[in-house]
Amino acid sequence: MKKLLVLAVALAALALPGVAAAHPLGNFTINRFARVQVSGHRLYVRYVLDLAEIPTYQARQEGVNANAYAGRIARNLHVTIGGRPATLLPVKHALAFPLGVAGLHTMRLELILRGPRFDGAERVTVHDANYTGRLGWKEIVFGATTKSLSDELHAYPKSLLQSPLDVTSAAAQLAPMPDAAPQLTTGKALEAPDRISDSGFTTLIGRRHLSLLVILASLAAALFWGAAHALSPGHGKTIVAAYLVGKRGTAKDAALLGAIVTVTHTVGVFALGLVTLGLSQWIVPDRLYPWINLTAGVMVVSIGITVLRARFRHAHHHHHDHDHHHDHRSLLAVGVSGGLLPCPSALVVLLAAISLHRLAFGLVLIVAFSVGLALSITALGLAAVVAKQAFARRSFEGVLIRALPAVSALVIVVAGVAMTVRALPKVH
Amino acid sequence: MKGRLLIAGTAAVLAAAVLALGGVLRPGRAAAGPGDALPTAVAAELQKGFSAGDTKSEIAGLQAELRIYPHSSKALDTLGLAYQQRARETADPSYYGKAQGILDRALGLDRNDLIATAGLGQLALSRHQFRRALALGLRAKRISPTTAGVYGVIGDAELELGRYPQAFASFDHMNAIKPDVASYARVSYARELLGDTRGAIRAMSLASSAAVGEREASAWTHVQLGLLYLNSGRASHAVAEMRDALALFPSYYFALDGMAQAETSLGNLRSAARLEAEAVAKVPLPQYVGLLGDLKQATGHTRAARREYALIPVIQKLLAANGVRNDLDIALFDVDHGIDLPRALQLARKGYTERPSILGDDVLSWALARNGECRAALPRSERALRLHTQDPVKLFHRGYIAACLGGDARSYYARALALNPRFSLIWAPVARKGLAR
Amino acid sequence: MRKLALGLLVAAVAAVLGVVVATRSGGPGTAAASSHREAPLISQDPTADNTDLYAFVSPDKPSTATIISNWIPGEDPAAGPNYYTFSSTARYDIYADTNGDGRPDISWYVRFKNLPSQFFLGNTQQSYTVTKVEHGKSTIVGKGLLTPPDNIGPRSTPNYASLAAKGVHTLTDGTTIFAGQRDDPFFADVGAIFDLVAIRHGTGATGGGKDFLAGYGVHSIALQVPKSLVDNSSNHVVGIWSATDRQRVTVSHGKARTRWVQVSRLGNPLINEVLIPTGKKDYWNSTSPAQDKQFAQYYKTPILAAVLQKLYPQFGPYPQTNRTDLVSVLLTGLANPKLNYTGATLADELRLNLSIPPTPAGMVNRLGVIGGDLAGYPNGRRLADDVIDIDERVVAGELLGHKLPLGDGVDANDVPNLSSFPYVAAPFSGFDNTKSQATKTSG
Repeated sequence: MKKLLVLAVALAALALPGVAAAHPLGNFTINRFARVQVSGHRLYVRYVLDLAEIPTYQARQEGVNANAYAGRIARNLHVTIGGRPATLLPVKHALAFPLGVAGLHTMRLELILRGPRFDGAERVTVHDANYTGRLGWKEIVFGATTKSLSDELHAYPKSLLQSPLDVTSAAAQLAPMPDAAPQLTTGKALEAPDRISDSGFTTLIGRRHLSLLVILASLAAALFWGAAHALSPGHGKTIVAAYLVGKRGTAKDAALLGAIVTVTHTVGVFALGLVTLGLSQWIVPDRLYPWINLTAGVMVVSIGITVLRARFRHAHHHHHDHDHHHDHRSLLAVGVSGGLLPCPSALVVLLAAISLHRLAFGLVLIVAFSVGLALSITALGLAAVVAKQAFARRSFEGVLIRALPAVSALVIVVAGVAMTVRALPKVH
Repeated sequence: MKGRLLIAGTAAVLAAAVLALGGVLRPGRAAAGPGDALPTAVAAELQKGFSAGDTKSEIAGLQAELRIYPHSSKALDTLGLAYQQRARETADPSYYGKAQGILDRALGLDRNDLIATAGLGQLALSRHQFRRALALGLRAKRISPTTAGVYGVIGDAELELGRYPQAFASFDHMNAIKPDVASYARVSYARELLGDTRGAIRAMSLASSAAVGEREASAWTHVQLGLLYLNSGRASHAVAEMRDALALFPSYYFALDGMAQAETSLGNLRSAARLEAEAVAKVPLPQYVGLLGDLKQATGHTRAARREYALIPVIQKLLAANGVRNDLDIALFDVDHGIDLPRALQLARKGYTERPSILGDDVLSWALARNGECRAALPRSERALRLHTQDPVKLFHRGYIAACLGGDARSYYARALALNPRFSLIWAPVARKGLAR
Repeated sequence: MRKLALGLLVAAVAAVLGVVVATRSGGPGTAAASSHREAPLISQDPTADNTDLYAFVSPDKPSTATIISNWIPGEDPAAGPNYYTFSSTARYDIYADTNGDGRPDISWYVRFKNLPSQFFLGNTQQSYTVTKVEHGKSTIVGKGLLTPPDNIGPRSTPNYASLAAKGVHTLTDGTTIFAGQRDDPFFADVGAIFDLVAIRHGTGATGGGKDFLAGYGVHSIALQVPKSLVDNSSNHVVGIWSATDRQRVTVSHGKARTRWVQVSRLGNPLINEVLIPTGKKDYWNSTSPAQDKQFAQYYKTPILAAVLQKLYPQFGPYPQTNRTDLVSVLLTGLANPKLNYTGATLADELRLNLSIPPTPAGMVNRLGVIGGDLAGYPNGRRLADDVIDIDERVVAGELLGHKLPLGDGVDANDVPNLSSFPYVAAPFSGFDNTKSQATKTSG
């Protein structure tokens, strides 16, 4: 158990890079994108404005009037065709306030600007004089199908070798094209929080006034975010499901797994918080990550191998299927690996709780978050168990049913090897 | 000849060195013929920016180099530092993340990479992770005890952790190895903390003359000189320095804020508000937003002031979500503006444990005093002034506490007002009234 | 059917949770939160940065030796309003060692002052004082001397050649001096970093590289010293190096007298860049040649040889260890053939044998001694010596009989040097900045 605790601390440290790593762009940037294209015999500009949290907050203090924005942007976007200034007319717009960091909103405004008639090939110049001097990603592309480096301000490149694009003037030779006129993004895609997930959870701790109702609502929300978080990539869902299938687990096992996940996740977050706050003077956490990654990988591989070996022993010796005693140690290991995979938002909540002197509230929130996480994983495990039993009841006496546990074990091994391989080159 | 190294290295000799340090020669690339378009484009890009102090094109050149030779330690080190320099120039924090990633990569190639270790230390300082910065600085010192920069990281961290004698020794050692803008500026700050304003100005002037040719560093030294003048009763000198800084580096946010402070001190509140708004538009630091709010309030724009004040908790939320700790700044703002004083005191206590510097002592004493605990505040305030720092704000706090305990505040108030007659739009009038009594 | 049920169950769980799995999530950003004083950490100090050092017997005045030391790399002629000047708080040093012990026997210290109008009108003219130290005795040999202004353009600085000519002064010891902006005489293909130009053009010995320093300026201090002042009249070899000092300050002693700390030095070219490891650079820059024994290991096992092995394996192997040949070229002078040996003391100096007459202008070989021209590098260094090519070849083993035609493909400066003092060409003006064309003309 002591060893596990050490491992818990180590694994939890994984979460740190998520905290320290910078957002692709800062919280106070104003990002601009313009796509200039000719559709049929007309020039169009598809313009996207993406305000980060602080400018959005400021804009909403003053009230956002999309028409006023559209008019101003069209006026400050200077386009010439063959040397003659072209007038741009806003014809359509779409406005959304996707969720950003810390429960704050961002703002995304999309505009279709219609330019003049366009006959024959002409040289088009564009100069974007909107928000000069403000930090942000500035991109101009020509043509309906030209690729945008930022996916039109949806996904800012995170490459370490890419500086924020700073293009405010551009020119190109354009000709009438049979392309359709540009369209606005609609529905969910426009609202998609493209900046950060789990941000709802991290906001809970910052509420200024705590009444009983607020606390209860916060707990429910934390539970919800935990459950949601479990379904994002990672968190050993595959491993849990594969394990339960492979070891012919029961509903009780699935519930037990959930409990282990809750405990380890909570312990892990606290331990990491301690490391972050107390030991950073002696330990440079960055140097630990590769080792921790490696440990996690090796741990998963060994789980996989255990399951695989058990499987083969069964296959060779006797054939009693369901009343087999589970190896409790490997069950524990699976739970631990599920509970300890990185969960940066929980750590953020812990740190924020400490800095806001709301330790108790923070602890409760994190426990609720962990329970949510565990509920999700348990639900998944149950689904796997149910599915497995359903398979077993249908008497597919044959290759498939006998191969299933071995395949599951292999899945675990492969997942572990992948983790290990990814960690290896960074260990030094 | 070391300057050329940074600018782009010296010819084939260095080209070769880059390869060797990279450790991996790509035969395919080496064998590439004249038809290989990328390097030529890169070369053109590089040449375009071959000018001292042009960080942007230096970065473009290094990025291009690393796309071809991803394992060049030297290029990784240099790019990691260049990103941090760019962050200073633009205030765009995304460069910090990039610097971290690049320097981590360099450490991955060589765990004893001096530049990468010291560079990560500097990054930790930028992020207010002072204990971590100290650990990295000490590690860098083990790698190379004869490199001046490592004592800068160590000393800065020690300073923020309240270990003043050690910090001053680090700065002296740094300057003994290499007097340059970095070490002069640190000595200047230390002298300022010790109340030796004239000595601080002398050292910062040396820093300024050693920064000639490096635009941002040069502008920064002018801003610091301006602030030294500002808080020693010479606001018009301060304006001149800020103007020089802005001439060297147009719309430099440090200089805009500095100029706004100087104009505030001269009583030109409207132009101060305009300048501070410009600084806030570039970088909404809580202290900039706070001053802007005060300026709006003082010029009768109550609603606009409320809007600025309302922004501060938003920024705080973002900082908390980002794991950045700035409890002291927030506590000071809240105490100054009478917002939730008990909570502000808690914040100040918390901030003090993370940053047990004289700033921590000062904010904590002020929070205690405003919560009516003047008896507990007094020793804190005395500790905040233990270096004899000539800081009008700290002196005012000391006087306020003296008055609160039934003593005489006047000598403190007089000193604070002599240093800067408008050291705070909220509290300077209080000091003046106290003096008149 | 069961499979479908499983799929539905999972879908239902996800739906109930209302999950939006944000695939594009990034980590949270570090918002700016700077309230502590962030001084720059690793900033360049261009005005203290030695770029190149030259020493040669004056071709038009063989009774004198010329020493040229350059500072401030990469001066962009169009960089206004931030024009370039020497630092008024630094000390610029030129040292001569006449007895081979690595210690200076004659030192010239130059200190500059900004004129009162400095910050206005872009006035870049400075006045300066030269102090000479010999046998522990310090004498002021020049005072109130003026540099020409930078070459800003025909309106601010018309008729630049005559302006510059006014910048040549005679010191009281008979030495002639010039200090001010000049064209950077160094030539090298910096783009080779990406292009491996030498490979592109065979071994690079056939020209065609780009001079990346073309069009840029530097600040030069040039001394034309009567030979009699520096000739020891036994082996006639004088060792030269230059350095920059800045004033040391301490936290608590605000008014102590000036103590100088050396922050940059330069004898042979490329030593600090190529041979000295990163962690030793500050230390190396603070030491004097007499202490160079401790750095000998880096000369003996140059990383460059390993690099050449990778670059041109077809010509290898290259000797990578125990390179006593490099130690002798760079630290003691060449004894065999007898050229500029100064004894067993290891000291990084530019050693000039004053008894070797200058090569007539038309017969200068850019490869110096290895090109059969004994008046060139490593016997001192002339402006026309192609030190990049020479270094590559010497490291490849030229002196060990391993002769290879290596080089960067840039064989001469972009503009012709002058035929008389100060020899270094006038700088490009900010007005007719030619950096963009410079690449076409070199090679």
